[in-house]
Amino acid sequence: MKALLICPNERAGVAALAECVPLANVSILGKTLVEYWLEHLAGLGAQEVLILAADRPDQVLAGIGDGARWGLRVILKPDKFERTPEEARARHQASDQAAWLPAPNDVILMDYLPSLPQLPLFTSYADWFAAAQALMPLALTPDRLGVRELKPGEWVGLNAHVSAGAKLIAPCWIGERAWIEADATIGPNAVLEREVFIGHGAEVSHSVIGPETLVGQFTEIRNSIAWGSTLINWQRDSCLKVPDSFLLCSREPQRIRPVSANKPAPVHAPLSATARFREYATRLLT
Amino acid sequence: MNINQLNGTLSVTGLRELNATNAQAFRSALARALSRDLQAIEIDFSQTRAVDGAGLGALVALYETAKEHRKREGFAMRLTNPTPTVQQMIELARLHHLFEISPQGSAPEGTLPPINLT
Repeated sequence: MKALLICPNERAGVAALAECVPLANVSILGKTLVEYWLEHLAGLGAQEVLILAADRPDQVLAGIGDGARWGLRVILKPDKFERTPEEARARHQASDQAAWLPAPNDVILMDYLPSLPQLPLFTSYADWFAAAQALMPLALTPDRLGVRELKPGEWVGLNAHVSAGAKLIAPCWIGERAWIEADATIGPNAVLEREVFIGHGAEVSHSVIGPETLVGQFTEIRNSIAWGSTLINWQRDSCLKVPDSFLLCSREPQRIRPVSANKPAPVHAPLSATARFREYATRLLT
Repeated sequence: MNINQLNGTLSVTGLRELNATNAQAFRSALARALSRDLQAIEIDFSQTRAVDGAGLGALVALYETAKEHRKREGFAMRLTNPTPTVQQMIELARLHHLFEISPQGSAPEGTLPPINLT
């Protein structure tokens, strides 16, 4: 059985998010959107999936490979623009004699999550945040290795580190290999994607922190989506590129790889930057 | 940047940026304008397009200096009309807990009521 996925191209409602990453590759609670859909199609009995991608197809392909992870044969076709499901059916299905999944699962435009079809993802930042929040209680599926629910509504991923003095307030999701320093407060309604670093005393609530993002010491992120150095307030629809890496930045350039597979090394913020921020934040708080 | 003082309020307008390039000059200029009868500092951010950590640091330093000037008497610092992105920077660094923020279109008229710090 075959199926076809259409990757969403740029959307005006979430333009800043699309600048950071192709929307098909946006991580939501540890999996990308295209991963959720491939899982879903595999569950429906698909064996071959054709993916049409107009926006950075190389990155989409790098994230999914050949589909063997899901027992699928995945073929990615770069496209010039985002097609509607009707256009895609006419172009790719009409001349194909193979068996396809029954409609509407034969051709899918990935602008919502398979488990939440009623919640559009890319109409606005607020909608995207609402979908991520709605997914939280549904996300602890058996295929997620190492995710634990520490207390009701507090999910922590594999190899995540939560310091003893840190405070979690449900509902919150801590992605795998995330690192939370002491006196930080996470939640309510907070999602930290994989390998996020939360500095000492920082507060994150009603927000999503994208993968590999460093949140500086004593900062406060509320009603926002932070993705690398991009900070989007989903309530006010405003977007800022934070100029100071000690406040907010992508961790990728300073990334320290784990020393072994079993024991990941702690990941530290750049020392000079954190020292600077600690000094001025301490003055604020005393 | 224009600095005016009236009825115990030091007003700053026309600030186009507050970052590493002008933070020190900003702080020095305002520190020179501080007087003993100062009750409030009001900085208009309506024309400010860029603020960074150095600029925020200058605000904190100015606040500390002005507070020291006033000793135990009341003093307030208000940031008015910040653009949404400037407000994001202020909130990210938690300065909205320290300063009064009057978002665009909501700045009240008249002098600020002093805050008793004792």
